[in-house]
Formats: sequence, structure tokens, C-alpha cells
Amino acid sequence: MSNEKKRKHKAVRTDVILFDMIILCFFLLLAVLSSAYNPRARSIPMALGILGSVMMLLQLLVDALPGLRSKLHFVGATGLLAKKDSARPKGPEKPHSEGTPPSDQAPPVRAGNGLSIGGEWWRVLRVVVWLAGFIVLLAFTNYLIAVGVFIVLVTRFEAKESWKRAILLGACTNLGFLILFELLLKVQF
Amino acid sequence: MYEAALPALMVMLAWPAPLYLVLGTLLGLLFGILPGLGGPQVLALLLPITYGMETHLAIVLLVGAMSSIAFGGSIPAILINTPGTPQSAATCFDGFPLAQQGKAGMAIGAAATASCLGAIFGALILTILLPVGRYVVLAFSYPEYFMLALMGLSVIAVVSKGSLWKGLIAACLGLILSTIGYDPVTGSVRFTFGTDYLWDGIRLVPAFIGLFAIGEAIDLFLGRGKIAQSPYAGRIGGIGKGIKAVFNHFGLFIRCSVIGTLVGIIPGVGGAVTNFLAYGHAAQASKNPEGFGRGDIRGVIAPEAANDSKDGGALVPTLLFGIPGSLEMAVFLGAMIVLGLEPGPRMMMDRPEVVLVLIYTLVAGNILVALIGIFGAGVLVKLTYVPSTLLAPVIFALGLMGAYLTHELLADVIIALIFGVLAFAMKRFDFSRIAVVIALVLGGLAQKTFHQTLLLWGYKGFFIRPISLGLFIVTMAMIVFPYVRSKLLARGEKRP
Amino acid sequence: MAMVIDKKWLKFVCLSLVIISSIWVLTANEAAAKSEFPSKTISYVIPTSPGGGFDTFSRMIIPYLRKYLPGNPNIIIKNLPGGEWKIGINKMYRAKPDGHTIGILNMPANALPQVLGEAKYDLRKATWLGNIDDVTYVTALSLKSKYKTLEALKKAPVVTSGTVGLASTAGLGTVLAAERMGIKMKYIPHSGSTEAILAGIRGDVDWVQYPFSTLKKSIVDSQDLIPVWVYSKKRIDQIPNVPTIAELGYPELVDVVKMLRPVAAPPGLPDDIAKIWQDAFWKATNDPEFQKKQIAANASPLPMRPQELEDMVEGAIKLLEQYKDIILKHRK
Repeated sequence: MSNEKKRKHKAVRTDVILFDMIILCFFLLLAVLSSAYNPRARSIPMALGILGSVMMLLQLLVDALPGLRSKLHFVGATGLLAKKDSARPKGPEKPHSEGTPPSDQAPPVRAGNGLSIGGEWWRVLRVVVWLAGFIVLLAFTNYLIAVGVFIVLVTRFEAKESWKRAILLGACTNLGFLILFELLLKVQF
Repeated sequence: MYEAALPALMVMLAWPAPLYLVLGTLLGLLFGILPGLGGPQVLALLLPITYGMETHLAIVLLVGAMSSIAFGGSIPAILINTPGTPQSAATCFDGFPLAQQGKAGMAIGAAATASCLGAIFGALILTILLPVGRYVVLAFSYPEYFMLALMGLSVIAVVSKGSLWKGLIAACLGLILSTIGYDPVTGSVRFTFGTDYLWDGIRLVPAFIGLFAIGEAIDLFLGRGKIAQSPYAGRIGGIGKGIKAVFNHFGLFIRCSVIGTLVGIIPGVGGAVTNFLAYGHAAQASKNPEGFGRGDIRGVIAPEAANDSKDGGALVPTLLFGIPGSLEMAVFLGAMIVLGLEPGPRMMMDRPEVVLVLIYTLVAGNILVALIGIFGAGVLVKLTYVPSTLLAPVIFALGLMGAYLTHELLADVIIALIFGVLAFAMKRFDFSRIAVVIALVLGGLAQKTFHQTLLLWGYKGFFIRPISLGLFIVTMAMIVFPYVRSKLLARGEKRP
Repeated sequence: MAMVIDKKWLKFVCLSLVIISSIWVLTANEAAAKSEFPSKTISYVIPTSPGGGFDTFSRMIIPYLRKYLPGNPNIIIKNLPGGEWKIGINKMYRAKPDGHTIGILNMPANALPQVLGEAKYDLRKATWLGNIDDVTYVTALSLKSKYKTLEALKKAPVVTSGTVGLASTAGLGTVLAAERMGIKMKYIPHSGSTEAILAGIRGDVDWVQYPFSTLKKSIVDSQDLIPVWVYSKKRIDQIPNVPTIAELGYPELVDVVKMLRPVAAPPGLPDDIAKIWQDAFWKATNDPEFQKKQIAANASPLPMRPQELEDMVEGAIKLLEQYKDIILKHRK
């Protein structure tokens, strides 16, 4: 593998590894927690936790050390519906955010948006923060304010649309929600 | 009961019944479309309005609303990959890819037709089966429920695209999440971390909103494209093609309607299960299943037929025993009591015209909403051409509001957000969301019925009962068969 | 989808904002207008999903409450199921005690979390407004069961019962009845009464014990289940041949296996507002038309005064304290 490809591979895998580890920890956590319950109650969660941990561990190893992939080929085996996937790149665990279309039939939804892996996750984090902000607004103010403010701000700052479009979208959505929900609520007399 | 058939029809045609039908249907459609709102909510909304109304009109209004929910839920499933109600989740799997290919019209046309005809089928079966429905309802006990859940879970193996290993991990995740909460079987409370909210486990509606709406909206927002990637694939032609597709695959349609009706008759299994079973059956029974999940129209016809026919089926235990066949039926039963009716064995003898008005409304409502869907499809399809940067924020707001509106609990919204992020991550890393969804929905049922069977009869309980054994064999066949066939095909290709 | 003419869109935006803000102002005004009770829409919290007995009878009483409250206020139902009633009850408790939020409760079942230390609410502190009805439980045996009488049940090596979690009145009632009567019971749990009753009809379990209104279809309208006794002081009219549990020698069980549907407001409700509510409830629950509707739906009206309700709550807590150990034993 050329140096450039190696770098791409490495960059690709960090987030995969991270995700694998998070899920692995989740399974382990629940398996451990379930030991506190009575025998019958713990049986299924513990079994699932252990099974999930083992499977995830193998997946993690395969993702982290590509050499293992051929030895543990069942980890990468495709499902029953993925026969005609020869157009796909080998190793289906590779995420598609790099822009390779999965097959000739489906349109490339996850097509490259010109961002690096890190860049994309940073954007995701920002979106999540916006959504969390919406929830906070919802908790403390009327839902109409929350919806309006959220849409205007997100459209303007994240989607980089003009103020005009942002405010218009916010106003329309608010109007729609207002009619929808106030009408529905007011019908109950 | 059948002598009341004609008089009941007259009642339905007399003004203002048709007006109430239209009102109810439209309202139900709206609630079906909005994620987070569904059958129980629209019925709860309409109940106070029905005070003082004539019984027949009240039934027309209420049942009209109930009849359009199933199809209503499919519309956002197809257009924005968000089921309006959990029972339309499977429609997303192929409906949305179709929308992405610019074939939303076709998907909606097929969904409308399958829904409408499925509902008629269910109503027909209901009418025929009422005399013997009793035996069907009573034939299903804990082992049979377990086998049904198992069958639903096995669908995961069949429809997991990509790595089966990851699909199984996702299933494990869904299953372990389904153990959260109070378990009536063992009397213990698991993984609630001290909160009351998690006592009943992960609630399906916010989880679905998160997994589908939010997760998809995040993807959409980052993608900066539109939902429909391919050029506009012809409006009227699309819808017509969709309608025709149902007739082209009529055998599949009938089979899925049967599945839906049967599962509907069995109380407590629920609508969310029906559409997965139908979808799984369609995928596994076809000769070329790779298209599923990528925009195969059969993947729309199957669940749509099932989730509408199940409404007819659900009326069987409701009317025969006064035992609700589904959540909507439970609310509907309550509504009938408030109206002064008494659902149960006596109702068919005492007030057959009420039962018939009910059935007619179910059919009429479905026909009406299917027509609305077909004629309105052109407008709805335009949604898929809105730039995602404008559409996504609205979907976020709508989804989170939908999660909030069900019970005005912030925790629901937080769950939606968490599952949204999870869904997005799973999509990026090629873990099957379908597996998590199916496992989450069926996990509880599977565990409960497993324990119940063991308590009463031990392990042999699963295998000595004919229906249970039969279902088990079918499930095993469903898993093994495609694998065997592909091996045989491969061997066949190798030979010169 | 290009934005066509700027001026047009600008006008539309301004118009929308004007509409939105005026509606906003109008709705805000409505709240600030009157300061006497009731001055705005009332929320009626039901901690169960729509469709059950609590939901049904609450909907039935609302028009009558409106009739007897000054100003015929709007009453909206808020179903808030979850956490074994705790989520809904907590929501009601935390609402502003101005009379605009009330909630229905399930007694004595709701006292159990309090007794076990799992509840944030204290039933003694609520402002009790009235009671809708008194639910009579019936024990019924499956047609397919080997056992037909109390004697047979006592002698049986094991009796299977379809229960719904032992923290509910039905479940608790079954446990206590079995213990008192010396019946060797095996509990098959279900997630709802519907499921359990169906199991009884199928013959998978011998014993089901649920409210008469729930079981009526299976014991009166059809004979899928055979009632063996009722938990009340008098026999039920519709099943006159079925003895009461008192007649069979266990009168104390009548107090244990019962269910009331009382309604309460948050603690700290001002006395004058409480009085308005309590009067309205007393009149509504005694309204002959409402009582007729209840009876038609197989319920037994039982209006109760606030003092009676407070005594009832105290009694329920004491009762469950007594049985705390048995309950915990079954909870494991």
C-alpha cells in the first residue's frame, strides 16, 4: 500500500475503532450491571452482554488489524441479500463517507461532501449541540419560540443560508406548527 | 347479523355521515403522517367531540380516523425515511430508496393501493371469519407468540445487507436495550438507573423518531443534496406504475394481507411486528432478494398490505371477546364504552348494525385515504426536491416536537436525540438499523413469552404444540433456505 | 426552488410574523385575564394509556365536572402512562397548586411504591377531591381448569394464576388471597389484564382475578370463565349465584382486594379552591345521570367526601405496610 493510501486507511479507521470501543464498553457495562440482579432476571441481559462484547471485540480486532480479516473471515461475511455486491469495495466495514458508491443500483446518498472524516464528525457534533439547545429551549420556553429560534439559527449558521431564507423558513414552519397544534389542541373543548 | 347489512349501508350514506367520514379520515391521515402522533392520540382527541353525538355518526368519525392512520404513516416513511407511526417502519426500507431514485410517486401509488386493498381484504376476512375467529384467537398461546417473535427476529438475518456479523451485533444491541425496565416475569427492574421514566423500558415512539427521522435528518443535513438524487422520473407515470405493481405482484399482496390479518387477530402482537414479518417474508420468498432495501417495490407492497389488513384482523378479538387486538383497539374500546356501547360477545347480537357500520367505515375510510394519497402524491413528491439544508431543520423540529407531544415529557425528546445520533453513527459504520429496530420491538415479547412457556411447560412446550412447532420449522426454513439456494446457485454456476 | 421576487417574500414574512405575534399575544392575554378560579383550561392527568377503566370513566365524568364548576371551564385530558403510575402522579404533584391541574389515582395500588420507598410522592399530602367508583374484583376459573370450587383449590397440588405483576391490586390481591386461603399458587406473569384473561379463557392458567367490569364479558355475556367468588360485602346482581368471599369465610380480604378511583389535586391547594373542586366532585359523582351511565358500564358509583378519602389513604398505607414482607418476597 502506498503511503497515501495507508494514511487514508488510518484516518478512516480511527472513528470506526472509537465507535467499536464505545459499543463494546456499553455491552460490557450492561453485562456487569446485570450481575446484580437475581439469577432469572440476569440470565438474558448477561448472556446478551457477553455475546455482544465478544462479537464486538472480534469486530474491533478486525477493524484495527486488517491482517486478521482473512483469518476471521466470518466477521466480514456479507449477509444473504448482499450477493451482487461485487461493485462494492472490499471490506464492508469501511464507512462510505469517503464517497465510494455502495452499488450501481442505489444512489450515493452518503456521497462525499468534500469533508475529511474529522471535519464531518465536527459538523455532526455541532448539529447535536444545536439539537440539544433546542431541547433546552423547549424546556424553558413555549414550543413555538423554540421551534422558530432553532430553525432560524440552524438554517443561518449551519446551513449557511441567507438571513432572509432562514427567517422565512422559521416563520413558515412556525405558522404551520401553530395552525397544526393550536388548532388540534383548541378542538378539544 | 347479515340482515342488518343493507340498513347499515343506508345509515352510512345518509347525510351527515359522509361528512364525518371525510373529516375523520383527514384527521387520521394528519395524525398518521406526523411522527409521534397516531391512533391513540387522534381517538383521544375526537372522543370529547363525540359526546352527545348519535352513535352511528360517532363510530363513523372514530373509525374513519383509525382507518387512515396506517397509510398516513407510510407517507413520511417514503418521503423522508421517517415512519409516521411505528407500524410503517418497514415501508422506509424500500420506500425511501425509491424516493431517492426519484420514484416517490411510484412508491406512494403502490403504498396507497396495497393499503386500500389490504384493508378491504382484512375487512372481508373479518366478516367471514367472525363465526370462527374464536378458534383462531384461542389457538395462539405463549409458545406460539414466542415463535412469532422468533420469526420476526429471524427477518434480521434475511434482510441484513452488508456484514451479517454487524447485523447480529446490532440485533444484540436491540435485544439488550429491550431488557431495560420492569420485567413482569422476573419481577425485577433492570437498567433504569433509578429513574421512573425507564421503568417501562425504551419507549418505541421516541426511539423510532430518533432512529429514523433524526438520524436521517442529520445525514441529509450534512449531505447538502436533495432527497431525490436522480432526475424527476415522471409524475403520473410513476403513480400509475405503483398501482399496477400491486397487481403485478398480486400473489405477494395476498400472502402479506393474510399475514397481516392473522397477526392482527392474535391480540397483543402489535402492528410494529406485522410489517416486519411481511417484509421478511417478501424478501425471503423472492428469487432475487438483493434488490430489497434498495428500492424494490415489493418491499413497499408487502408491509403496506400487512399493516392495513391487520386492522380488520384486530377487530376480531375486539368484537368477539371485547379484548383489544391492538393499542388503537384498546382506545377504541374505551371510546365505545363512553358512547354507551358494550363491546364483546353480545354486541354482534344486540347491535349488529353498529358492527357493520364499523366495518363499512373501515373500508370506506381506507378507500378515501388511498385516493387522497394517489391524487395528492404529485404535491407530496415535490418535498423530495427541496434542498436538504432547508428540509432537515424542519424535520428536526417536527421530529423532536412529535416526540415531545406524545406525553409532554422532555425525556422522550432526549431519547429521540440519543437514538438519532446512534442511528447516524450506525449508518456511517454500516451497522444495520433495521436489526436494532426489529430487536427492540420484538425483544420484550420474545423474552416474556419464552419465560412464560418455561414456567408452565418447560422447554418441551415449544415443540409439542402443532402450531408452535410449525412456526418454528417455517422460521428455520426462512433462515436456511436463502443460504442453501445461493449455495446451490453458486455450485450451478461453477459447473460448465 | 428559487426565491422569486424579494418584495413579495418580504411582505409574506412580515405578515407571518404579525400573525404569529398577534396570536401569541392573544393567547397570553387569555391567561392573564381572570384571576379567579377557574381562569383557564384545566388539565386532568390520567397516569394510564387511553382506553382503560381509569381513562374511560374519567372521560365520562368530565362533562359533569364542567357542569358543576363555575364558568364551565375547558378540561383537557393528559394521558401520561409510565413507571407504574409514578410518572403521571409526579407530574400532577409538581403542577402549580392553583386548581388547574388534577389527576386520577388508583388506590390502594398507588400506595405500594410509597410503602416500599420507591415513590417521590406522599399520598397523605395530596388534596383529595372525590372518588368516582368502587371496583369489585371477582375470582374466576377457566372452564378447562380441573378445579371448580374453593375446596378443590385448597387441596390442589398447584394452581396456576394469570397475574399482572405483583405490585398491582390484581396481582397483590391474588397473592394475599392465596396465602390466606392456603392455596399453593404458581404465578404466571403477563403484561396486562387482557392477556391474562385470554390465558384463562384458553385454559393455560386456572385462576384469574380482575374487576367485574373487565370480566363481565367472559362470565356473564359468555361463559368462558366461571366466577367462584366476589370480593364485596354483597353479591353482585348480575351473578347472584356467586358467593362473596365473606360468605366463604374470609371477610378481611374484601378490604385488601379492592380498587377505588379517587381524584386529587397537588398538595398545598388553597382551601377556597379545594372547596370548589370538592363540591363539584360531590355533585358530579352524585349526579343521577352520571351514575346511570356508570352502572350501564358495569361500575359501582361510590362518591366519597374528602375526609373519607383521607382516612382511606391512611388505611391503605397501613394495610400495605402489613403485607410489605410478603410483597417483597415475591418481588425477589
